[in-house]
Amino acid sequence: MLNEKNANLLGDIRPGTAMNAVFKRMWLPVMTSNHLAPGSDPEKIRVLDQSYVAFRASNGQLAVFDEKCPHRGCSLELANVQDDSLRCIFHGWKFHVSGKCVETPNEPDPRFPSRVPLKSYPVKEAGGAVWVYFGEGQAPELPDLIFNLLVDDQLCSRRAVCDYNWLTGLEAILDPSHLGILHSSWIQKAPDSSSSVDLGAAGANLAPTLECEETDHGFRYVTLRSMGDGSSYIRVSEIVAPNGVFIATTDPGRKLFIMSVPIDNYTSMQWYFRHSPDGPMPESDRSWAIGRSDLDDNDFYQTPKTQPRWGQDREAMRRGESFTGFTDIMFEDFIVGESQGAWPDRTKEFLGTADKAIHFARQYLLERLKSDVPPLPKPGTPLYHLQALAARIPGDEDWRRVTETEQAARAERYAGLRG
Amino acid sequence: MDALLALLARTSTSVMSDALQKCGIDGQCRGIGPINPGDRVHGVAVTARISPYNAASKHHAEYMDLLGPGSVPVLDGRGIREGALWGDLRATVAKRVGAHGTVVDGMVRDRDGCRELGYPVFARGAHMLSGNKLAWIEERDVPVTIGGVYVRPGDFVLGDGDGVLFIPRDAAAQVYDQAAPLQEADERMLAALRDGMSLVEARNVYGLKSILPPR
Repeated sequence: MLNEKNANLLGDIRPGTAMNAVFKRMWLPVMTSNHLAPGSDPEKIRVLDQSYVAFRASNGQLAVFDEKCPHRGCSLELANVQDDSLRCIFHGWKFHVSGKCVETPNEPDPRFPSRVPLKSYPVKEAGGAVWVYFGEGQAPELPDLIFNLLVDDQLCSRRAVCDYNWLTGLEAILDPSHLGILHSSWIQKAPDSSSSVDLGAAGANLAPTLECEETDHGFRYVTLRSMGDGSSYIRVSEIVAPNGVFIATTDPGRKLFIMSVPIDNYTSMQWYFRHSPDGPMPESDRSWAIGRSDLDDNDFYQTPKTQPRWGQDREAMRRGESFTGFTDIMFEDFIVGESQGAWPDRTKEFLGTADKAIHFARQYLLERLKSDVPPLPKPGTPLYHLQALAARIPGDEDWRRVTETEQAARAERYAGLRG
Repeated sequence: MDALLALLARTSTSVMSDALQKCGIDGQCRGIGPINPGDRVHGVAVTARISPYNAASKHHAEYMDLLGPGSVPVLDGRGIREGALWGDLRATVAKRVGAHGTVVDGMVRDRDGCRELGYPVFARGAHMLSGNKLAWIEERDVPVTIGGVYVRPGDFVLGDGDGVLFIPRDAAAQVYDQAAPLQEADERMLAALRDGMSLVEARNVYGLKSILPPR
């Protein structure tokens, strides 16, 4: 459980809060790169309980401004798109994609536009997403997470909007024991892989041992499952503080980074950065990534929300065909998260031994929030070589050693990507 | 063993005792405690065996010369209760040379003086009777027995409200490896309990079962 004070400290991301300040020190993905075509309508976006407007000029450049016109606060979502600019429909003030006000037709002074305090934010496109820095001052480097260094045909980056607090989204990824239960029907249908990654093993042993340790990029946790034949099945997840996690998938070629980004206290974006660092992503992987979710990359979780009980198929449950009555593994996570409540009462929880990583994450965040060191990667820490790991290792092998060896090998293999 | 000393500076005898138990080491002194509330000591033992005066006895001054910063005078008086083996005069000198506190298997006196001096003393008790004839140095810098624990010069000492324990120098690394995670779990559990978590839940998320010494 968390007491109310700590629950608020972690969950509350409104302007002025400690977590808001943390998120404003980092680049945040706000929409998929393919969402806005050149010259398309401006789009209102909400992040960190504030509203912005994004548009892509016909020259392909993208801009993110405060949603409200700096003049009288008319929404720029309503603006005209003209000459690589947004023109407010109220008094015709015109804002160029470069972030400058270039015309104010109702003001005679020609120097007037240059004095208009348009709030424009640094934007970058990488990893199939549009990243924005909402903080003050000089933006830091865009994180060199490996998918940010890859090209389009190596990526399948998708975004879902879920009706729950960002912490719920993070904690869903820090909860390894649900894998063999919530996703049990899915695991049984997953192609049995003879590779080192073995979701069947995850399902076979429902009560793994969990260990966590702090790192320069945040922390990592490992689940250790004794396999009966003297070997251990380990799954190591790397948490890039405060809100992103590399988790292991069924196929060693399929890499996945999940990130929970707050929209407001009751809504968050769940990002799925699937990537294939060693070459183009096969079409089969792309369709596997989409699964049975909705096709819109920028909002792939729509259908269940429109249906009673999220469209749960009770008949399939009665027939024993499906444990959850849901068909998509990602939907299963979103739906249980939403069912906990948009702002769950964490003072009423009862954590068990399987919840160590969740508790570790909360303590990590709380300790940092109460100190001078923000819950972010240590400045200058390289991230490009981080990946999750799933492997069968001899029972007497130390998982830390295996993790470090793998990481060192990746650091060498992918060093060239950093340019 | 700077890491161990740093740990001793902030940990408790209960945590270190659990670590000793996990290592199968019997280092907890019986019958010896602080003479003033709040006394805490950690450091490196500088030993001496005490006995009544005889022709071979050495003067205390010879022993006191061994003390330096971070040392802990450890006096084996074999538990005698007939007179005090330590008092505020020696405490004043020990403090001046940087000793962290004194452990005596026997009695001490000047409890109030030691408190005012801010010098921690651990003993079987305090009594005003002089140890004039009893408290001579038989041998210094030799193995001694304190509260039933065999102590070599250079062993590590920790004392607090729960008593005194010794960590053999040659087991320092092993004890440290057991104690560091115990101390961390202890601190984290305390914080979680203060924040309102139930004992059962805290045990779940900190996995105390696996880190406490076996029953």
